[in-house]
Amino acid sequence: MNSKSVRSGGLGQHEDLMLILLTIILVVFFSIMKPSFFSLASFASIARQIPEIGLFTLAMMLPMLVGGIDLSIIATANLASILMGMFMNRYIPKGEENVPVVIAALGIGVAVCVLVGFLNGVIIAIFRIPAMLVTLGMQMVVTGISLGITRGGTLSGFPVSFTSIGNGDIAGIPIQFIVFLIAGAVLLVIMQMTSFGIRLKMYGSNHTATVYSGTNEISLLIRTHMLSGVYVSLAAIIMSSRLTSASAGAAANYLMRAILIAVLGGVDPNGGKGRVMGVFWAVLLFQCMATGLNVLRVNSYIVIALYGVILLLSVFVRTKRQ
Amino acid sequence: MSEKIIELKHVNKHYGGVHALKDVDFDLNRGEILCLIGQNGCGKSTMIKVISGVIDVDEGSEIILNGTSSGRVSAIEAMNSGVRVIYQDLSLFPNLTVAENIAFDRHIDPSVRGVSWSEMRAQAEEVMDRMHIHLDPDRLIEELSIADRQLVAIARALATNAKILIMDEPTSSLTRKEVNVLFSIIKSLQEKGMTVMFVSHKLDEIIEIAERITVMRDGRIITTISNKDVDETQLAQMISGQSISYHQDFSPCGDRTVLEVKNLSCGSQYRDVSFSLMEGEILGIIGLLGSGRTELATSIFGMNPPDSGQILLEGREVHFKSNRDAIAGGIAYVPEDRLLQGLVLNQSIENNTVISVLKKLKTHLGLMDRRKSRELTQKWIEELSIRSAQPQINASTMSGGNQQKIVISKWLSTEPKVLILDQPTNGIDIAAKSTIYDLIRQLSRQGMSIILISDEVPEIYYNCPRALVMHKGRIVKELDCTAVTENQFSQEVLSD
Repeated sequence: MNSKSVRSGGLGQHEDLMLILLTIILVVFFSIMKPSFFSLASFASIARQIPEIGLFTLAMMLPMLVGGIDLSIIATANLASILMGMFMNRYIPKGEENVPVVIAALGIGVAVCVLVGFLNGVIIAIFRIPAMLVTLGMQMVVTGISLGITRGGTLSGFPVSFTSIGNGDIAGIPIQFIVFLIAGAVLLVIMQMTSFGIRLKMYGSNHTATVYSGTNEISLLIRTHMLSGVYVSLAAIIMSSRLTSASAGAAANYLMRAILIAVLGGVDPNGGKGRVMGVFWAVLLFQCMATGLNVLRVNSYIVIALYGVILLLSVFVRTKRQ
Repeated sequence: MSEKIIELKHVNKHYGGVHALKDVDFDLNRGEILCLIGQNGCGKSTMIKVISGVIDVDEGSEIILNGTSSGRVSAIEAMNSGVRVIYQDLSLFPNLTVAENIAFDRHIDPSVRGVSWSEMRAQAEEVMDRMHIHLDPDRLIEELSIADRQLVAIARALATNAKILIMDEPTSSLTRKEVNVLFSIIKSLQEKGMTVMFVSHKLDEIIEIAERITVMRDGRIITTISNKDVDETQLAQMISGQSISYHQDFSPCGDRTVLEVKNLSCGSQYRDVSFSLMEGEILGIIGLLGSGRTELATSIFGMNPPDSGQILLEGREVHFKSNRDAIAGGIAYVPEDRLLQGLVLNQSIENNTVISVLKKLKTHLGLMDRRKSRELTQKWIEELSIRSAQPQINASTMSGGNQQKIVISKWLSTEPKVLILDQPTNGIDIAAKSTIYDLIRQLSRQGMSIILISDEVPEIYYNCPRALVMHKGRIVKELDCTAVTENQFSQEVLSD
């Protein structure tokens, strides 16, 4: 028989090592080019940047695992931020604090994102329209609503109990980084240890056989997009509290980055393959590179082209290996 | 001596872990009609793909096309040498006209710009004249009968200077009369110098039309003989081979009816189907592709709701909304297309085995009990002797037979009352076949009721005491396999 038996786990760990190695090489490179890069300040900055893009990437990974994509995540996060901000500004007078209202606002943020995910899932699963079209349409709908509510403006003036989520730290570790680690660990458990996680990957690899085996594909797709919505809402909370503002057009460049990092981290755009750990190391690699290029003052337009090259390269390397 | 137009020497082909062609020596003479026969999965399709250059062969193989020897043939070289393959699905464009389909290949030449409709029609008429057939060139393919589509497919091959015509089961969905028309056209083409090779399952037709018959089994060419030196019984023996000692070994089934189907109909797929299945019975359903066998099975499995009629499970009428209801009711279905419907190739054996019973493998926290799931997988690996398998290995690395065993263990995990197997030995080797047969018998002795669907006579005859013959959506007869010989059984099945 075939002696090159592929173990499902082994390949992934090998890829993780590659990503870690590349990260180390980059850190060493930037530190030589600009010794000030190797400082607590820049690592703190990296740790503060990672959670948002990391959570968006996890939100992107889930629909990609079933062979889809979600182009509405950033627009949805902005809508959630705007609604949270409006709610807080309405019920908390400027300069005052009211923790229960902030908690209610967070609940609204989560609910909005999960609802958008639910709608995406329903349209994709029941009407069998490609995820790319559905979520592109949803992106426009959601952005339109956000613009309508804010009339294109920016909301700000949030209470400190909210903005400290994205700016405070516990024992020197940024709060959002702790949130990211917990959220990642939870997703790791969901993917590895629940029937939902197993079905998700099986469905992504071969949806016909998975449906023949007794999987309810409509419920699976809806749940996938709702779970993705939870991660979008966490990113929205962290992002708006860090920026202390919310607007319809914030963080537009995160969408393409989330796709790039997901692919870099081993998520197969055709579905079925992708691991939380892979995404984690890819986010780390990406943010070290982004911060390093920033420290070196590389032209930011060139940086965009560089990201494109990285995306194409990682797709190329992965297709080659198959 | 006739001139060899194609010659294969020591040709080997591996697909992953499967050795599809084993040291094949084969030749095709100019102007002859040769028939390739063998069971499903014996390597016939692979042979066609090698000759037409669709797939590469292993290192060390030699292919001689028109006297030129090479290690491999590309699809372009095969086309240029006049090799034309008509696949079972005919590969026509249903939304284009007869003339467009026939003249299509001439118009994909990039140097041809623009389309002259009159020229296209003239080309089509000219080719059809050569074949002595007359179809309206302006009719759409989708409006034609299967037999006429077959003729269009042949005309399309002739329009581009075909020298070697390869047909994959051209008669499988034709009536006897239509077969006669097809054969007279093939004979007249032969008189004009055409070489014809075709694949078929129908032994009487093969002996009638083919001058030489090549028998394949398990990736090897067993023999090539003249049609004058052989009869149907001998051919059937050569196809099934001696390596699998078929014998009827039936154990009595229970007297409790487990499944009953009454007057079940579903659109144009099948009509008025009634049968019952006893506890521990192995019921055979024999029918060709398109006879409605798979549609019937998927209806019982809850995936293809019937229009009318009843399904009774242990005496109670059931209306399955999906296959999840059917699985919960104790029905399992090993589907026809293993790679598409049966297995998730890029996932582990363990995931493939437990996907059907995930709900039962939860700890009290609602998480998956990985230890239990590994134990279950390990249990089936041992019981079904799935070779060199660890639960974590990807299913794609296994051979066809072992893959099918994984699919079966997935369904046995659900502890079904009724197990439906749709072409379970399609494309798997003899040894694995025989373990699957043993397994089916063992399960029936334990009281499981089994429906075995197949188009292979010996598979049904030697495993099922009772068999239903399905033809064009209807159950046309019920046969008692203990009361007839294999030959009689085969004649009964083919006599429509």
